[in-house]
Amino acid sequence: MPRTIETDVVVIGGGAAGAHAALTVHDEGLNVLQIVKGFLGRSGCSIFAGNLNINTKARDEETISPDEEMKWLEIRAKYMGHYLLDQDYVKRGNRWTQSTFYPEMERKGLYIRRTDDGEFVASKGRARNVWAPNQGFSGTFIMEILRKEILTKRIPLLQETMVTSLLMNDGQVVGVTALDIVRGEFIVVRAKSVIVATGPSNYLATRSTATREQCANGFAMAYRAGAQMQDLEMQWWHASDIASPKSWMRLHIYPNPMPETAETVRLHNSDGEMFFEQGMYPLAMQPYFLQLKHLYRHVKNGKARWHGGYSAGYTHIDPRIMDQYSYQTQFFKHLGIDISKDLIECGITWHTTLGGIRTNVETMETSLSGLFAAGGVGSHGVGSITLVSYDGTVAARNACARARTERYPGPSSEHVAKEEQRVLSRLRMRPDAGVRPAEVKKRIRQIMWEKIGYIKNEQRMNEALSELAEVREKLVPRMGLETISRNWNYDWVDALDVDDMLDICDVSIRSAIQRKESRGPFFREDYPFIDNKNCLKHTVITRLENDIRIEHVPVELKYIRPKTEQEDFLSADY
Amino acid sequence: MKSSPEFVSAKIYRYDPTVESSPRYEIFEVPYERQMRVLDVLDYVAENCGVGIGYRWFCGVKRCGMCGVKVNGKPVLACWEKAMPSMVIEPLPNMPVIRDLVVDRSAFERATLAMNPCLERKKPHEAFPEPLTHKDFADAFKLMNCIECYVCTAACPVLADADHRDFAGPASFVQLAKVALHPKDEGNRVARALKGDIYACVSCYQCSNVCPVGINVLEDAIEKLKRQCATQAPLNREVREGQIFSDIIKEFGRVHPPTLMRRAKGLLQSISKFFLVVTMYRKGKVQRRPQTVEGIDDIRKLFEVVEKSR
Repeated sequence: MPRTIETDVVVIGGGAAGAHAALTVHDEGLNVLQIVKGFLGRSGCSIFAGNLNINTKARDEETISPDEEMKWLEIRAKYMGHYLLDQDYVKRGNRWTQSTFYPEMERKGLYIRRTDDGEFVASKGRARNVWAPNQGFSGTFIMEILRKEILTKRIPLLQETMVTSLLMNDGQVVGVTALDIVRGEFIVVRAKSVIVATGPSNYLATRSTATREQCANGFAMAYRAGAQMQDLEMQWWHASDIASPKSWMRLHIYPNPMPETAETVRLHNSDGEMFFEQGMYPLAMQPYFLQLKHLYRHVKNGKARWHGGYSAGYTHIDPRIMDQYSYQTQFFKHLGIDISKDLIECGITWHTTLGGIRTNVETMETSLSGLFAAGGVGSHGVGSITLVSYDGTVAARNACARARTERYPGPSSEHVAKEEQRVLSRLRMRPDAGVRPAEVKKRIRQIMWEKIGYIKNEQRMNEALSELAEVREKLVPRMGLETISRNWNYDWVDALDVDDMLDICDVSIRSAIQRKESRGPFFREDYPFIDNKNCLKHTVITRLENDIRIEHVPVELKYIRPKTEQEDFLSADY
Repeated sequence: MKSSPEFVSAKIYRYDPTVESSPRYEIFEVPYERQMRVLDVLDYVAENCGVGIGYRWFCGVKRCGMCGVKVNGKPVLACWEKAMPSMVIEPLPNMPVIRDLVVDRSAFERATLAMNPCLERKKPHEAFPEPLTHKDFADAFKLMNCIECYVCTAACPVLADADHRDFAGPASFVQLAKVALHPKDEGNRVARALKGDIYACVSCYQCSNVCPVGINVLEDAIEKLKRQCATQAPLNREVREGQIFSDIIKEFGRVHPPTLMRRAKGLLQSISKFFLVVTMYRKGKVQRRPQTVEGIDDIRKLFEVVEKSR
């Protein structure tokens, strides 16, 4: 039997959701073990959070203005969630953000950039964006504070440790199996509740803003254990990320207003003609998805490519603002770009998946007893560091309530042995005609980039499915590592990632084929209209023994509803 | 304009201490791409050259702080450093190698934690937002972009010296200074700085020179902490010795070892070194009495300027 650790609650993931979950369980007085595939507060997408949105009036029920709240809700529900979000959840999350998140983070040392007179440096116009301490760096700073708190409180933490599966017993999640990457040791963790918080973002296409280790492992472990997955087809591509160097594709150039101004970055086609700025859509506070619709037209006209040939520019913004407040500026300078007159070549990147493990947004419970999903790995993703932090605290409180009443059911030893065998089977060499796992990952990402980009249609999606099947049948059996040393052998991790990536890419495409419309980030050229009458539903997929079950679950619209039954996707403003 | 190379040559350090007796190097030719970084070169090798090189990175854009390596002798972040036509890529110095370019930073991470790098408040936090101006925060702000990549620590020559095992290293002092300079912090930061052996720092500026996020580690973190030590712990032996040294310079314009020894160590200890001093005197290394240098007035003016600027 492998080394076994017992705890009350396991938290998988080291971003803002996982950190808040671990801290909350610890504060509730239960034992928690946090497991991070990379490093706490360093890997994962929380470090990329750029803007913070402050509404100092919306502290609590008494002081909140209903009109203001509805306005904000409309932005979230319509422009960010395309009516697929749970609107009550968004309200609760926003109130927590204002009443708890900011005061708590400031208490712990978060410095929101101020003027010499002590006012917040904020953007002008409808949104009130602020930054800590600089535009583009807020998430990194927040994660640094949370990391130090967890480390100094000595909360049990395994870093560079990859969770490979959820342990099941009698339909309940009773722990996890994991691989310690540094020592190459397979370990078993028994727990009464498991919180998965592995993020919304995954490195599944050639261009992606996910960090290196994010390979859909959280989705895959839940999917394989039989959890319901929801709206995996809602893939958010981001329009303005650096084209080269490739490693800098994660430097998001946000379409949001800059400090001390209402001006935003502008996009220009290959002729230098400006085709997008946030001011074109004053109601959509964060017009990420609208950028893509405009870019699509220029790609069609040969005046942009998905991986380059169009540019972002700040030439209309006072260079002092960029110098003084923007983290990104140093990168442009390092490339020799003078942003007061030059443009920055961009490409699109797979930013996040709005869907995920189907989650009850009141409790963060999933369809599997004992499994909770916090943050972007859940199905309610809204891409905000404050909302995922809220999720972490809610998931933790409910996971604790469960842990207080449950005994240790213990995993079945048969399941442990089978998983250990799967993990060890990847630790092998193929000296003749073998391929490295990193090469297989590259091939999967290439298929997703070429066939499942921003433009989707049924034919290309079917081609992608068969190309992925070919990877599974022909490349995976030939996959071998350079050595079978267990010492920090990332080849081995890559090989395990391949299994997870193939499963999740496959089910995401199947989910996409099911949605016969376009909506928000999801664009089907063969169904170029928003169909609120027939398609305002969640796509829910569950893995069966040798098949999948697909269900369509209607969305409840409590406050904000679409005004049209059907409309043209490309001309719609959401 | 300089033309870009078609290929870059990367000579990469390979070592798995659990199975190999010594390190080796492998050379890879990598097609050059526009604006290529060292990290892009490593990614290319991992994805195309059939080898499983051990190297760490997560974000690629100077946030995770995990891709530190040594390129042609200089500690850098692989995501920030431009690829050069010919490169030797090795693990960061001053840390044990786990595998290839992956190092064990845990000793220095523990040194950082020993500083308690979390804000310590004694008074409760007032209602959000608390009163605070950017002027109040100006000193701490200079350190905010530190991502704890430990590249400065890898470059520190004091740590390469086996006599300074207690020295926390520059990165940990930046983390300490971040809270020590935060206007709301009320922790005893001087005690932590002294425990981290801050006076072992030789002010050589190597940390400032290599910092990938452009922090002047020596002046904006280490010297600021030393300043706090000087004002808050003037009786500490090392603080006192530093003060005596600078007083001698102010008085005579240059250091005079026998005077320094007498004032810092006391008469008794100085007598024990009597023969050393005599030998030095005979060889013309020291004068019997300290002599004031020409232009001492200018030196004293310099002191005034520096003291005023604090």
